[in-house]
Amino acid sequence: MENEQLIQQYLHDRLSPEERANFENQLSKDTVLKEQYDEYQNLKQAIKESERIELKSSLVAIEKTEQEDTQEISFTRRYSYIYAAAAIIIAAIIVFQFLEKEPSPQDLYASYYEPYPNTLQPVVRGDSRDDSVSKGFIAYESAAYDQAISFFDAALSKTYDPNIAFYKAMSLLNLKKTEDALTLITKLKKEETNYRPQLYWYSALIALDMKKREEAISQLDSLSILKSGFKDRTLIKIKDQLTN
Amino acid sequence: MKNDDALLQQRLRNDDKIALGEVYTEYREQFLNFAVRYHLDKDVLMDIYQDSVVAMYQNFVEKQVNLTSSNIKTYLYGIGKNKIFNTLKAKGKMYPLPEETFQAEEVVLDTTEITAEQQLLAKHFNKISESCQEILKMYYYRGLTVKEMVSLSHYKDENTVKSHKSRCLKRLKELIISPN
Repeated sequence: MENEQLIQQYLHDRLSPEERANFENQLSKDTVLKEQYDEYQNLKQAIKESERIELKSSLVAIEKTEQEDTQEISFTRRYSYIYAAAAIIIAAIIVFQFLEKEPSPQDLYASYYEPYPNTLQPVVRGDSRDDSVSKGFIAYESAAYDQAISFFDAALSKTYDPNIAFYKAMSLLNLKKTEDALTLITKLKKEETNYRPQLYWYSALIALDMKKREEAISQLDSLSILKSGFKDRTLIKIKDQLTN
Repeated sequence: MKNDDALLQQRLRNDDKIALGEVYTEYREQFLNFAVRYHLDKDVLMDIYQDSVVAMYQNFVEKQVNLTSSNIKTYLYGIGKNKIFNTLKAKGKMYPLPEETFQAEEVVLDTTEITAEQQLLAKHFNKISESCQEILKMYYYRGLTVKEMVSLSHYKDENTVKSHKSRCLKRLKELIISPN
């Protein structure tokens, strides 16, 4: 087993008592292993901490919505007109502030859009492959999207692969050629790709950019139906912002 | 009932945030009513309850806890009781233990303090792209193997995962050396 695998199994309690003892023994002697171990442990604790903060704030948010709900109930139980009037004024102020603060669809687009990473073909340093697909991805990763498109086109005309076409669509989108990108994305939804959830996600973002709120919501709904886990948390947040 | 609990545990192990919310609301009232006997402020108790739910959840994700002779409730109460006692101890108070009217499991809390280096990593972790956060989280925090990561994600194969992971790690390290 590679060192890193062994460290992972140890830190996640998946070794037998005997293997644990062996590992600990090795750890006390092997300085390289110890260094790798420390790095893994640091990353694990750091991510755990960052996750802890996020989880806690999500619970605080649940609590806040529940409190607001119960406050509303006790409020309506009082029959005082003064309270009612005050409630209306306060509500009006809150609604007004909310309207003012509510992000426009385009703001949402801007805050959620990021170029989709290359997950199809890893670019390895000193890569000597010179086929158009590899060249396309090298260009894509260095944000030379125009170039990437010509390479992808060349590759596609030789052998059609919807996954490559997806990256062509992403290149178009990164170049802000939104309508061309949308046409291609819509076509790809009917084909077999590894990027089904992504197609709906980017359709939703494009709809936001075009100020089509309803369309964006419907694309996000299709994405949640897929239950792919892709953008799960963002999905809840963005839908909230759109439907409020 | 027993099956429901097993199913919910599976969802917690899979880092299902909706399951987190379900557990939170399910035991909230019961827990707060039970904890009243320790004479702590309501706000403090609420804080303890939230921290306990988070600690429980993270244990499921990180250690892939599988409870067979007990259940989520007793496990959660075990953590909660621990945290209550720690709070009481920190305040210099120790009440005689009220008679137990509920079942709680003995759960040892992870009390390792986070180091300055880890703090720094945590701070910059939020600044890398979402896909990077996701991949590093799967590997280092959930402890998934590269193979498992391929089956749970849209990555094509193990090499793609490995190369994306090392690129993300590099990005995180660069951020620490020269922020922004």
